[in-house]
Amino acid sequence: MSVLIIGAGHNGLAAATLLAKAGHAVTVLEARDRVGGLCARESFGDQGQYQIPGLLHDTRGLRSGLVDVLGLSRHGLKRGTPPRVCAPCEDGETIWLDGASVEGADQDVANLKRWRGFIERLAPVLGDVMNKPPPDPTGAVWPLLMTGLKVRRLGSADMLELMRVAPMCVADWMRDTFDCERLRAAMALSALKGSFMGPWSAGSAATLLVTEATAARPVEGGPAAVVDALEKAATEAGATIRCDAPVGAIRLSGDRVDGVTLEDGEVIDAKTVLSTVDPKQTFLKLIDSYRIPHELADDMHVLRTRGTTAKMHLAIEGSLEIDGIAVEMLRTGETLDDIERAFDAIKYRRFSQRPALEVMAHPAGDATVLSIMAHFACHDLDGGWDDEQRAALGETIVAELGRYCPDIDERIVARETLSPVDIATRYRISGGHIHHVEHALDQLLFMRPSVDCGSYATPIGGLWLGGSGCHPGGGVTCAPGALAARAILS
Amino acid sequence: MAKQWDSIIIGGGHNGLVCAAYLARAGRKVLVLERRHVLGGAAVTEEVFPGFKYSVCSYVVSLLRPEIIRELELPKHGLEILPLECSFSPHVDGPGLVRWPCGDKTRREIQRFSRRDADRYPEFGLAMQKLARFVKPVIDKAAPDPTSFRPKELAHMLEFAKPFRGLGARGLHRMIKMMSMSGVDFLREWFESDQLIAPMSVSGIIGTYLGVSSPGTAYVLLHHYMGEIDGVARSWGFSKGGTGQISLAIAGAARAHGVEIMTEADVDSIITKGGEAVGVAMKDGTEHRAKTVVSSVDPHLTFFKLVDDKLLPDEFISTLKSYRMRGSSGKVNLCLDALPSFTCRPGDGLHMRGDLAVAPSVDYLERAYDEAKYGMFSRRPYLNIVFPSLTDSTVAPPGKHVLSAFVQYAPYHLKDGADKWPEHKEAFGETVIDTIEELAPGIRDLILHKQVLTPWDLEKDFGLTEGNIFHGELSVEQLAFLRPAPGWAHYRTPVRRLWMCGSGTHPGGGIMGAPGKLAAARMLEERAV
Repeated sequence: MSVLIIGAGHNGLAAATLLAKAGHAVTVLEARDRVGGLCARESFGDQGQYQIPGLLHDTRGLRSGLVDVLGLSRHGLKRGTPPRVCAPCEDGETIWLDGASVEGADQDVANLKRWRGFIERLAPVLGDVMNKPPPDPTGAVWPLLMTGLKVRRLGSADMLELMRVAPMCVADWMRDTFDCERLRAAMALSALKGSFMGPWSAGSAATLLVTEATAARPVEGGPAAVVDALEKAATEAGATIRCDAPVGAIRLSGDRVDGVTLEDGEVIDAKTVLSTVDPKQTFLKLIDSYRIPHELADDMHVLRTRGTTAKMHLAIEGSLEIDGIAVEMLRTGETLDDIERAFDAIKYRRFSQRPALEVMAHPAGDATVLSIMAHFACHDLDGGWDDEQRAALGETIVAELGRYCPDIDERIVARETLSPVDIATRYRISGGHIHHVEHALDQLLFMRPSVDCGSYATPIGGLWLGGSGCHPGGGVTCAPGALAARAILS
Repeated sequence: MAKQWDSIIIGGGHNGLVCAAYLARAGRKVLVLERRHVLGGAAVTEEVFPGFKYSVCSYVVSLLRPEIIRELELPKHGLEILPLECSFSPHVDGPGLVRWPCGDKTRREIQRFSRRDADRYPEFGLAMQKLARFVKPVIDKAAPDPTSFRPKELAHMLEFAKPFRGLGARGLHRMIKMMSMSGVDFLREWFESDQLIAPMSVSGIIGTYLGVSSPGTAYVLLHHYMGEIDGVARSWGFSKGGTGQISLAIAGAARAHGVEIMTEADVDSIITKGGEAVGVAMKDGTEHRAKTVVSSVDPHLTFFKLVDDKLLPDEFISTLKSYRMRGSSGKVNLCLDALPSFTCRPGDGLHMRGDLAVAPSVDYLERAYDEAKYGMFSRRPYLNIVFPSLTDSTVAPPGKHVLSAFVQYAPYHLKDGADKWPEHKEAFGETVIDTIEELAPGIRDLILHKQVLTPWDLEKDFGLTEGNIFHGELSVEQLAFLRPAPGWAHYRTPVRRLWMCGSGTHPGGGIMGAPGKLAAARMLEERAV
């Protein structure tokens, strides 16, 4: 069987490897000049002399089970050590967070251990849900009961705590758990990536819970290293990867897929097409919407894919230091309210005047390259994004960083700012959303991206979905791609 | 001397009275103790100013359980519900929007903003009614306990889950959307005009510490389609004589079943012996003894003020401490010399006889919420206004009127401390009047008397901890088997023979009466009394 995969991001490559290994003739079509999607290595600076290992920067979610199945270690993938997180204060003590230990918040040492313990006990149960196709609530009762039973085996206390925490807002959860406000804010920030939520939004606790419970050690070299290994694995398995091959349309014949047409008019036939681009694009752009069931079309129209994250890449002379210590990862947003204020801006279609930043520092010789996720910036900015707005966004990000590293402005040797619209354009993602589809309860599990295609198959025969817009969602996990490949194989 | 009661109920609000009535109806000897001089708790009618007798706090009825009305024969005891005719959302510039019970009239109103929305509005109503039918049984039953392996509880769980499976994948998805999305996101799937979405979305925030764009606020939209006064779906109503009349009707029914009710009876503490509740000690030094004590006041008041906390397990105390009951609303009642006139719909008319929502746009409501998040009352709040004097002549002297405004947001925890509320009270009242003045110029000159209730006042005068009108926020993690604490959702408490029956138990706040009824049923079922 010949299979076409649209998109050579991490999910597309993971699926390609598994399908090719199973003996199928796989061709991966990538619109850009390089593989990797949101994990692709990017260059910036006037001669492109600085490199950043991907728009995304957190690789802790990469599933260990898949690393083994895909043979990624053989292709050079190595797990590193988790970065020490620095949470600085303008007037006050800096907090250093290192897994289950914390410096600068003595009152919370025990609380953090206890909290980590809870997360670790939940990890097997949540991992189980996040590594398998979503349970079908209307299907057989047995698998549902088994999942229920696993939750109950946690014991009353943990189970009730899970049920209490899951619908909560992360601010309340952190306030219940920790005494130090700076620590609460630093923990909360990682719950808010890629959702239209502030720390006070109900449901944000679940995001933190799942992120932490499924996190392993990060990959050395960042997302680009994951992609390097995936590319080798896919090629070795026999998959063909074509860059600069943007798909213009998915061709149908009746209610079955027939292949694709590239933007330059080239026609490629295939009875099986796996789309790893976002679902809105798949169903509303690549296919004439009258060819899909109207309920699915309605679902796609209301699917929430509002990009909320901006990205900035900086090259600075010397290293990024706080209190004289070199920083690997830095989170700003000193209090939960500061982060909430940053979030408020996008409700009114603006970007934060004091964004909450997650900065990853990569030493590059005498310089340091900073990968900065800036929360929050609205995709649908009032008045629209233009060069002036982008420049203003860049200034606010640098100013925020400057509060903690006062001389940063003078040390910048190269910069690149990407608004959500820039992300949408460069990576061809609806809404510029880094997870393709917002993480919210009604857009997860069997409902992601629609109840009509919640288990990777779509109402169109031979067309499958396998990107971040499917269960278990966005991030460098490779799980949606792998689960889609398995669904095709079965 | 001291009479031995079967049950003593602390608090003469609607839930306490309902619980008392049901226990007495089953032949138990019941005493109700109310701290204030009037019955009703927050469902109370008072003559604060001579000639004006209006609902001071809670002001509309919708979810009062029909079985309670029937079984306690409340109409016989004076309950009469007058329908709210419509819902009016005034605008400073623009025509405003009135949603009528009549479909055609509403359609013409919505068409001014969007033809597409006007088409979809009736469709939306049908879809909501369908969902409401699935949710309704939930509030009429005790919550299941998912941690229990008892066959009865397992059966209960399955019974709970069954209708949801019957919805099918698409129906279930819609239900999950309803339960988890924000009101605004949910409505935007259907509608496009801000002028319609904003006033519809506010039903999800009443009494919560959330904004209309906060996830979890879509659910309460359903309640509007569950209202069932006289069996008419969707109607909300006024109680003739104010909401206090509901409490008095329930009290009448309770007395008819032999309940004794004492007012100005201030409970100091719950007396325990060997870890069991045996009665209550009053502030005046007297005592009352009973086989069971039932508290209808909120969980914080019950366990942190009335009970010796040495009797409570540490875990229970810590869970209860994180039980959130941040008050977020206040009340402003104005006695008026004449009816005000709204610029967008001048003069008297049917549009004034329903409720009136000052919710001109989503951004307006979000700004109001943002101010509250950071510890200040909204400079331009969301108001829900009624003129009870238009439909009920008992409220005000002839020609005079009462304007009763529910005000959100008024956070209990101000930036400079909750105890600073008395200093802000005047400014808070003025903010509300300014907000109305912009829509109905001249109202300030019509004011004869004003009564301003801040969350601080609600706590001090009505015993609502932190001024929370629902005895605890109605957020998902504080509902069903988690209300008020995981493992203690069945009206029982860690103190033997002490029970709960207030809004801090399943299914929560509002003038439903369901917690009171379900608590009584549970006590009788377990032969606790």
